[in-house]
Amino acid sequence: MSFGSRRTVPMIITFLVGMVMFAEYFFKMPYVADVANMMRNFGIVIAAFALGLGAANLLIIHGRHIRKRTPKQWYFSAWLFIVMFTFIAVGVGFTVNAPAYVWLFENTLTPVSTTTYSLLAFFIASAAYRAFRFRTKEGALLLISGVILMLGNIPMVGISVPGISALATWLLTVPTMAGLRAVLIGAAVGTIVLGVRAFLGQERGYMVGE
Amino acid sequence: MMYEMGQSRRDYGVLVSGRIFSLISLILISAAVLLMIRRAKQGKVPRIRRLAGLDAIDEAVGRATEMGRPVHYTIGWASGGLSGSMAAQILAGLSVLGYVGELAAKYGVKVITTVSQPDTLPLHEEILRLAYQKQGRPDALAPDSVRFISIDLYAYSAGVLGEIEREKPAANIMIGPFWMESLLFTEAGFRQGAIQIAGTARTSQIPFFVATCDYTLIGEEIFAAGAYLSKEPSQIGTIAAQDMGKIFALILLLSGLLLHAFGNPVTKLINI
Repeated sequence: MSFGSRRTVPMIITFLVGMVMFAEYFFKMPYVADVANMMRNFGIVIAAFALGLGAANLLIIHGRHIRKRTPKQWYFSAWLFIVMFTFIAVGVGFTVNAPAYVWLFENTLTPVSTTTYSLLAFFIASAAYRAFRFRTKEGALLLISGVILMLGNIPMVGISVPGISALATWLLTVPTMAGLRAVLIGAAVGTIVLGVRAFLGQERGYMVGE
Repeated sequence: MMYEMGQSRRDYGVLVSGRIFSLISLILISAAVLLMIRRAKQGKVPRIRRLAGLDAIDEAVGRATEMGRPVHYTIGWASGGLSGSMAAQILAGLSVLGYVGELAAKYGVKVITTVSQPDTLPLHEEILRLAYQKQGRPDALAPDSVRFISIDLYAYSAGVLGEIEREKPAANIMIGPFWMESLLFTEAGFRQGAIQIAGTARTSQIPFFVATCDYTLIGEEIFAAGAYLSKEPSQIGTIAAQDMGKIFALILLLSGLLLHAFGNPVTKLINI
């Protein structure tokens, strides 16, 4: 397939699918909803196939690490295979609702996920330590607002220092909210323009700009 | 729109009621895009401000080349992938990946992309393949450049932390929708001394990026990234259309504020 048609075909598909979705959302037209649903189902099927591609990617990359005994990596890859195939065997053998699978899930994945999430507490502290420095005007503002917000959320300080909780709430609901809404409006307009660009075949970044 | 009990929406024939104002807005913004593309094609290319975060990509890849260490790229985790509500941010992130891939191919530096959504995996692979092909170095693309980690957010986060720890990238570029993993990745990148460029339109994660990264793209800037990096006049024109859309939103805001202040039921007008 030539480079031109490799670009043109996805653009035509994007345009046609986009037109159907556009028509379904804004207009009451017979059959359009059915076509749109069919396209959504296509999307689900394609995503399911893609999951297979993801598994293949894992097998290829980590299989290579094990074969080559990549230093500081191969034993993690081997462990990945053990866990992956255990889950597949138990899931396929007993179904994903079976007590064995649920036990496996709740005693391996759940605690590991919670641990990963809890890392955030330490990372927030170290990030805040670096960001909240009185070096620039912006840094000073961040430091002052951060301190007010933190103190305002401590019940003891809220009682002892009159007005600090109200100031913390004001900081969150007025200046912060105003800034966030500006970002949201900008992002919404940006999303529309990106969509229109993709519609017109102008958004070609994901086709490497050709 | 708040309708009282028993009150039904008016019938607008073939148009879906409650979405007519959205349709009008979409038509106006689309018209602005078309107008700006046309003007750009006539040679009237609008001047747009520099985006430091995107300009710094060259510097980041150059630094990775000098240090002989890889570039890490991720578009983050997004539930639903290309079919979900974060699809636009995913596409914005993929647009920048093409540019990073071209630079990496040009300078001979390894690029590692970590993927969470399987439906974007073929896109990652194709984008990098095309980028290396465009630079005339298709063989230089490492077979393990695109690494699928996991569809689960926590497994993906832990996997990427491991990749950053082991591969020690000199540049960490993150553009797309991000959730709790944003801070985990940037802190991991910081520990490796990587230059970090991040961008997202998810307002809850922007503060983490601003606090921890060298350069941050905020909200709409990521949607302009593909057009900005392409340097094509017609695409640059669409960025100006984006600004026109913002002016339109601003006019709406002010009109709504005034109408509301004077007691006019502006919501009825907008929710037709």
